[in-house]
Amino acid sequence: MATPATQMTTAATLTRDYTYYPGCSLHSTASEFDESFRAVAAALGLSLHELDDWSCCGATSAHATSNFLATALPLRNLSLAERAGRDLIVPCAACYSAFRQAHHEVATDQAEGRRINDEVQAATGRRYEGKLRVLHPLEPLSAPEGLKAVAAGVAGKKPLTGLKVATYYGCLLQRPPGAVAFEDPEQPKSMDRIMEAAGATVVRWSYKTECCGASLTLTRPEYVVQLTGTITGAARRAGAQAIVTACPMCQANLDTRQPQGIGAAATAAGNGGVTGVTGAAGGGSAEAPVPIFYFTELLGLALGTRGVRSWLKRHITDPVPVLAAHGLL
Amino acid sequence: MTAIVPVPFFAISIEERSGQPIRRCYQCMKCSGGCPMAFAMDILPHQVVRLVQLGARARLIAARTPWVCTGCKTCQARCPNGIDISKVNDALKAAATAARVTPGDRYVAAFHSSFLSSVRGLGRSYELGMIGLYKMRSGTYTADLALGLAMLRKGKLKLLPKRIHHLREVDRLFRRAAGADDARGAGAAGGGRGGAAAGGTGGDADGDMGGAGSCGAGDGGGAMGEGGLD
Repeated sequence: MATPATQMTTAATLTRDYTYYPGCSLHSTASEFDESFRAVAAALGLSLHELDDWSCCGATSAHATSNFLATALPLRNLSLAERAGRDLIVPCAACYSAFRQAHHEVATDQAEGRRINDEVQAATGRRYEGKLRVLHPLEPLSAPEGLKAVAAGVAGKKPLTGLKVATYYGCLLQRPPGAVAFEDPEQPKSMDRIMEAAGATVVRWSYKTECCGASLTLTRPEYVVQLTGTITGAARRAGAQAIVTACPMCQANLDTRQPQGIGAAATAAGNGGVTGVTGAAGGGSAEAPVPIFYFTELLGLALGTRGVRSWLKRHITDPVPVLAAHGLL
Repeated sequence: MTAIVPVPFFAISIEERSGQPIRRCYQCMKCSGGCPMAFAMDILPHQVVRLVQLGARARLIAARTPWVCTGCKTCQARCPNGIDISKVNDALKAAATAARVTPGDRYVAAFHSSFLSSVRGLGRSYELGMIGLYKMRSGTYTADLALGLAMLRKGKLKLLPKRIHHLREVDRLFRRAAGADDARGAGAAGGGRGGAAAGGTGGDADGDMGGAGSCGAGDGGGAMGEGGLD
């Protein structure tokens, strides 16, 4: 049985220098996450050093087909980062989860981790010693020093006053709890605190850690339409004007599939409406879609960084009207 | 209703390959209650575990469930016995692949192979190339065309791939993967073949899920799915 509270790591501090692992998504579909994270880091005085010659973490496809690759591909990156000697910061929730699980295998000296580490050493000449601190940006930013830095940074700039947001954490930031979660996996609060420090109002809702369907978006879009329809519908019913995410797959799935979810729910009059599946699709049904932000985009906006409009242009669900209505753009 | 004829050692081989204490399960069904994908599954998560215990190899390696599991690990976080069913599902996908049966969801299988082709060839995932390969392998050329074009226009899909410098390291890991996974999963694939031989032609056949039905969730995932999502 997972006992969440015991699994939390000690509160991270705002060390000045981090090794930065962007991952494949932040170099393509989630480039606005990468750019906004860099902008926020710069505004808060953090230096990011991108890991040289990083490779893919393996994502879902590695663990779905090869137990070995699911650990070996992260270990290649962890062994590179360990040499750099700084804490490793990983904004993509999927990469973060994969790294934390591989780290756990080695740091707790599991037989499987040892065996795969041996193979990685044979293949790359490097071994992961298990000494690295692997952080998601939410950790240092939601620690007391981070919140103080955010609150001080938005003062006199553009605090998100009056903007009601639902914070959506998804799966991979919190699970599996023992190896990955840095807070209560059923009731995470880190993003709530950061958004509140930036001036936003955080709504209460029950779908913070529901699954968005992840990579099924390409293969079984009808399932993802249903899952994301339920999530965005719940956020609208809770009074949210926007959803805030910390994961490229959560953002992409909610952003791209939301119009279809609303359309399907409307045509089927709330009766499922998705081919071959029934269930709680839609929820909030035929209302206007809510924009889906990376938490770093809203932070960047609040901190007055440059580039905000170019990030927002890449969204499928137009986020400009909501922000304009609040005088934020 | 056909009886389940257990395949000898299948449960143990899946336990080994997944690293999960499958025999601990006492069917509390928390996993199925919280599973976000239950609506799309032919066998619910708690039924998967029971069927593994029973050695129902044929039923499991032909099932859709392992392929539509997103690996969100909601079940793992809530299991009172410390079982990560997503890892059991990964082991079942591997067993299905090793036995060369038609994957329970061929689109998902095509996606994973396309994704990993990109990682092996470049060291990173190249979405546009990966999607092209997937479309070829799955035959779904026109699905999501409008969305794909919108994403291209918005610069969300990079046109050119980027290759890492030390690609050889990644390639070496891929080369080692086949051997390493086979060694670990020898039981899952080999045990099944042995079981089929031992049991004759009908040896690994199984049918209805009598046990699962008595738990009140035997008639498919729909009812449980809604319960889980609400």
